[in-house]
Amino acid sequence: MKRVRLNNLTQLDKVIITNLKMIENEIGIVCCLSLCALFSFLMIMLIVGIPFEVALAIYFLIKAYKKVFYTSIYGETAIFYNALPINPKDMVVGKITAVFIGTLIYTVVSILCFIPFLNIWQIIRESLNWAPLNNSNAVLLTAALSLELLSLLAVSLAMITVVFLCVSLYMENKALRIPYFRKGLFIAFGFIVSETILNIATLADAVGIKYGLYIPVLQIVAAIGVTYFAGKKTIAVFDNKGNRG
Amino acid sequence: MRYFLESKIIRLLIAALILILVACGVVTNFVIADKVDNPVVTSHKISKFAKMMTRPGYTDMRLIDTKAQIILGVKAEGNIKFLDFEENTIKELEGFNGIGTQNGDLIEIKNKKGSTVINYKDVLEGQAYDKKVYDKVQLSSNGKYYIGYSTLLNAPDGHDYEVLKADGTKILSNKNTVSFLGTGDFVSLDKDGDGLNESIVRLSDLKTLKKFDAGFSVRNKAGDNWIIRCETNSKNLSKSETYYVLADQNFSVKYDLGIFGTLKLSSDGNYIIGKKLIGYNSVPSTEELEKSAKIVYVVMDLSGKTLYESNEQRNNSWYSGEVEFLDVVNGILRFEEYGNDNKYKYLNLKELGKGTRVFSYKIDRGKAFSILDIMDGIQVVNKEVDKSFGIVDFSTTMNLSFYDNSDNKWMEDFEWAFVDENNELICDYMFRGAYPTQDGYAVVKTGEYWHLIKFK
Repeated sequence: MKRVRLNNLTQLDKVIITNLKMIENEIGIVCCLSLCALFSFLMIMLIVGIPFEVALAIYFLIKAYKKVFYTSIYGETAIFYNALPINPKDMVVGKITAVFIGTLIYTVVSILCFIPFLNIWQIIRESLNWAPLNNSNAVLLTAALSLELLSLLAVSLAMITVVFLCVSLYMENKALRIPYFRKGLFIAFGFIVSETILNIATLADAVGIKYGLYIPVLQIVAAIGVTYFAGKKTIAVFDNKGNRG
Repeated sequence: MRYFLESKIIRLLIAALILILVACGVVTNFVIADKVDNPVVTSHKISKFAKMMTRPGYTDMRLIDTKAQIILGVKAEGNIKFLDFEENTIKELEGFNGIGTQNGDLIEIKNKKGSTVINYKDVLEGQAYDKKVYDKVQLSSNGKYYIGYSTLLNAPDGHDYEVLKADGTKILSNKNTVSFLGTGDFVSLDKDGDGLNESIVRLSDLKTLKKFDAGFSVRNKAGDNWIIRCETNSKNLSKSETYYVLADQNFSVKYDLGIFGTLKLSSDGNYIIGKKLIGYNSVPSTEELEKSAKIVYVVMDLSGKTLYESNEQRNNSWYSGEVEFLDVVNGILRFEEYGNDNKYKYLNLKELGKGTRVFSYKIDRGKAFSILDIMDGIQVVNKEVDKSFGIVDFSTTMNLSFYDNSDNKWMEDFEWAFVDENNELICDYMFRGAYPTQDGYAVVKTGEYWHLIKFK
């Protein structure tokens, strides 16, 4: 079969493809692990297999993140990657987009694999703090679902950007050079703080604000804002590095 | 923006995201969203309530009359007190320490020797209440009569039954079993003591309406009809011929329906549901039935014409695919189909032959549902186990949504909360006797304390 080629690729496209190639193994592995969920009808799989599968998936996802955000820039493959003629903006946007695509593929595959075992209607009814919408009309629920999905995607993009920012800040700012084992804690801290700030629905629920469609909209706006500023800051970090270099 | 859109991969990514969103919207609309359009049962909406009285020291308490504001309380030392809503004693009865059933003005009160029945209005007006104490009493559900049963009255022959009017006047007595039929305007009597009732007596004029050669038992009443199970030979029950008849409200036989395993009137009174035995002219012994009898379930109109029947199956076998007809309401037959996942199925008998549709939904074994009402094609069902409610919509597909005590989904409409004078929540579980009266009062117990509460 003739291989389909994308012609006239921009620099950004090339960066995305390069980074996707870096993590294709990991994403492939986590997708295959998700397929294991299809065997969840076996009790042994449910008790032993699923926690094992989730742990492995987390391990490989972290590995993928590490490859894109750390190894290729600061680790053993940095020497080759840094030799490529890429401007900081393309590099940052390309890496974030590649990881986002990888995460998206994994999420879609996981959801498809778990659907046979989940009562989706029950989950929708009981999660996401939208009890007030339970008995309202279908149009409102459809809008809420789409907005919730969009907000999840936006938040996931923001998370990825924040993780990248944390890694680059840590590596480029000598003042932040804390012992190695605390590096993970520093990144996790950034991740958790942004996750908490961006989880507006839960926060609103905690302080007793009634769920409304404005909540996912607020969440989307906040996530895009975080992505924009974190992305800009990351680009600035690499700009400075370029100037110094 | 232009920077991003120049990238072909990002353009592809945006297209993929839009596709996912559209797919989600479609799925929501067609698969999920139709479930939210069911109306919620609001007639049972109960919000918070206010505590009106709280007292310790009672072993039982019963709300007798909310209009006259009367409560009956049993003190631990063994007296029954009629109280008003401020806990002032209106009347005290000594020597009784328990409250039984109540129907209208009649209340069963108990002591160590047995039970008696008082008309509480008469008692409050100062009339004597020293009624005879029976081993057991049974109040008719219309509150007009009661049956007193005692082994002491006629010791050599064992027990004796008396039928009394609400005011305590004896109108009928019988050595053997007497039981109310329906709401209590009729009783059936066992005259010869063989364990089978043979006579039906109308209590208003004590006229014997029907006398059966051998035994009979009234299966059920719905609408203006009774279904009666008759025996032709009471001496040998295992081989006796059992047949069913449909009788009018005065027990005149309208139709002889023939031999069936079981037969009953549907709760709307318009259909007869039966289990027909194949290859038997009489009801075989229980053992024989269990082993080999083949049956079909039938649903008939009131003239005995079969409208719909199940496939032939073994009796009480519950093999996968076998069914049990349960009830008909508003022309909709409800039956249970056995299998790995038992299902309730519904069949509209009015549409038979017009491309019959059978609706079904999965149930958990042991969770029985009964039909409460059908409103515009929406069936309101009651899960008998814990009094929760569900709605089934026949008009579209089979949508079923439930209020469940363990699931807070409809809790906002059904929540029971117990609050103090400042509307502060004390406890929020269902407690004894908390079902409120029509006008919103209830007497409930938490721990040692009894409370009179009024729903807001």
